[in-house]
Amino acid sequence: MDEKTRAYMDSLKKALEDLPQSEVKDALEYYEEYLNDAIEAGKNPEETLKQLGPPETVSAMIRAEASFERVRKNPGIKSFSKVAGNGMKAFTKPVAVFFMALFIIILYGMVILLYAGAAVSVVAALDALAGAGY
Amino acid sequence: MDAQMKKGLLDICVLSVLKKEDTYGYKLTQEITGLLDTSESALYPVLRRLETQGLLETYTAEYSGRLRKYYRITASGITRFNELAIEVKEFKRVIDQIVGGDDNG
Repeated sequence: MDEKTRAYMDSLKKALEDLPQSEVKDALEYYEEYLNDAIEAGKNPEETLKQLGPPETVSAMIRAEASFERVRKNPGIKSFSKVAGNGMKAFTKPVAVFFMALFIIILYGMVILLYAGAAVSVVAALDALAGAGY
Repeated sequence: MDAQMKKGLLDICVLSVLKKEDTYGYKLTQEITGLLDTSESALYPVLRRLETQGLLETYTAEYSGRLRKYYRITASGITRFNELAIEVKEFKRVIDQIVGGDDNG
């Protein structure tokens, strides 16, 4: 395995981290075998990684199936909320990043306005003083 | 093809390939992606689900100094395949009637 493939496996491991140990082990073994077989079949490792998609996508697919499996085995509101949570992750992350960015922009905007306001009033005060003959 | 439809077809594709012979992840993926335009990473979750449902089982065999996991269809897997085959044929008949198959004009 080359460096890129190893890095890919490391990221996949990280992306799966919070799943049950047995699920992580099974998935990592599968993809390691898969990549070895692809290399042996004469495929370009980089091309194979591209076709598999980013580790986050691979992980999301495993997660989706695993959480539905949990609901099938153990129907109830608890496992349902877990599925909903897993589904929401993909959605909430970009939304959270967006709001964070918006918040920071507004904060900076306010600071700049405050400084601008202060500067304007200082100039106005100096003007007024000059007007009063000082 | 619609993603939902493809997902349904994946099960029957996997079972049909395994009905012919036991095989391993990489080879199975190559065969399936040759049949259906699907992502290469879509298969692992399907295999895992079919295994937990008892429709297929796995065993490891040594291959060039490392272990390889092989998938084998079970008796209930064959039963499920036959059920799915009937469903798909019925589905095809209905679709042919709606959109017009070769002999329905």
